[in-house]
Amino acid sequence: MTLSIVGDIGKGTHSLSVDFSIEPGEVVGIVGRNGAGKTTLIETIAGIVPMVTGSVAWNGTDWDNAVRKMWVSPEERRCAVVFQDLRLFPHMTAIQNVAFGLRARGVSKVEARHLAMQKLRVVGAEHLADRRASVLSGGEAQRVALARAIATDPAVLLLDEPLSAIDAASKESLREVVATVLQQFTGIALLVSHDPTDVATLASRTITLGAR
Amino acid sequence: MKTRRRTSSSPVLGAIAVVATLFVVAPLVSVVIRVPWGDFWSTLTSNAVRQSLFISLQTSLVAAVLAAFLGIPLSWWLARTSNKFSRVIRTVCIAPMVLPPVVAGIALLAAFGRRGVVGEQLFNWWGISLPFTKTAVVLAQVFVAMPFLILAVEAVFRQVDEGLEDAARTLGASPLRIFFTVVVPSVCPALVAGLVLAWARSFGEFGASITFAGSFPGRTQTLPMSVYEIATYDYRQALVVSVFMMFVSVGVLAAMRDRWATGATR
Repeated sequence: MTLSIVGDIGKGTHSLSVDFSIEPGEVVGIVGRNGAGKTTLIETIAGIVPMVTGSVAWNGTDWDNAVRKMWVSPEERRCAVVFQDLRLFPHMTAIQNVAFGLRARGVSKVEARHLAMQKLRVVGAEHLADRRASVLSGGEAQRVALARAIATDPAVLLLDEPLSAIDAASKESLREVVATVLQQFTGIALLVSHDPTDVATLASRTITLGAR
Repeated sequence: MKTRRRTSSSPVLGAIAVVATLFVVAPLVSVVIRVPWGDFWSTLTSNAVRQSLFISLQTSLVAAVLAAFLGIPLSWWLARTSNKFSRVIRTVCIAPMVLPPVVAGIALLAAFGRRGVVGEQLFNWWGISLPFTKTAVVLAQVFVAMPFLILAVEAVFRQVDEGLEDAARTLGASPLRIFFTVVVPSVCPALVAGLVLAWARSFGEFGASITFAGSFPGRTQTLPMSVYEIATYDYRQALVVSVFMMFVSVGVLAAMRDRWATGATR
């Protein structure tokens, strides 16, 4: 169930060599200066951006292989992303956002709502269930995005700056939520952050991008 | 609003603007002045007018829905594809907008007429004959109205955040599901505006439908055709029907402006 990514990632003329593998249960912190390619790495693993050279493989299967022209589309990779800009569906309520992935994978409406409510409880946002995503505050939206990502029971959880753009007061409680989620999570987790405290408290190991 | 403030600072441009406004306003107001208001209700409810009004409503509503059904997927494809081929397709598909309506009618006859390129086969194989039927009215309306819908809707689709689509894909949603659950709901007011625009164009359509479908009272005669015919023998009645259609059009325009405003502030 190892995730390995070897080769060059990037968009346009910028590219960056990476070579690492991650085991289930690990929480790997990804650090690096601005523009080092942290978000691109997340998007490459999730299947939004293709690799320039090399491959992404999970559990021995290529998700993306530039040489063998292998490509597994994002909806078939078992990745879930908390995007830096969250990307909650603004016209849906919080619980509809969380249930979206379950519905897409064929879970019944009632069951999806039930499971989504459970996940909202995990992140302490059950009281926001029927609130429209477009009216949530930064911290609230962050929790809902986290619940949405774990709802589909992904093999790989990708968190892009889950604690940025939050005021200092709510940051502490949110960090606890992220920590709880990561403790309960049995798959592979990647956590991108520019904040050394986040990485130190949440990640079990650190990879620095663009350092070589 | 900004441009208006600027032009008003120059008396010459301001004067021209006033002339332009009067030129548009004068005919509209004149219709209202000349309408024999006493006959308003009796004219509108007369058999001939009622019949064609019903046909107009029927055909234009079907045409608007059909234009949306066909035009929305095409607009989506145009909004998300950018190559030589898609540019050619866009140009071709909005061409009916600048085509003289009569020419559009002739073109429809050439394609779907009894001896038309497609029509001949339709008749030989299934005995279907389209010209001079209500279906022909609808086809003519779709043909001229769909470009308006495509232009309006494609512009809206271009503003849809692709990041939301990426997010939906990572959650396991197929492109079709994303289209219906993420894209369409997030631009719903604008889609309605496009639909209304297509409906208004269909409702007022005259040249293409009279050429392709003829003006048979009770079968293919729509309200604009009716006005045209009535005007030849009773100008006062024609004024009544005209003022009615004018109110419908202006009403639609006013309603749409509000739609667009709410769509933008969302």
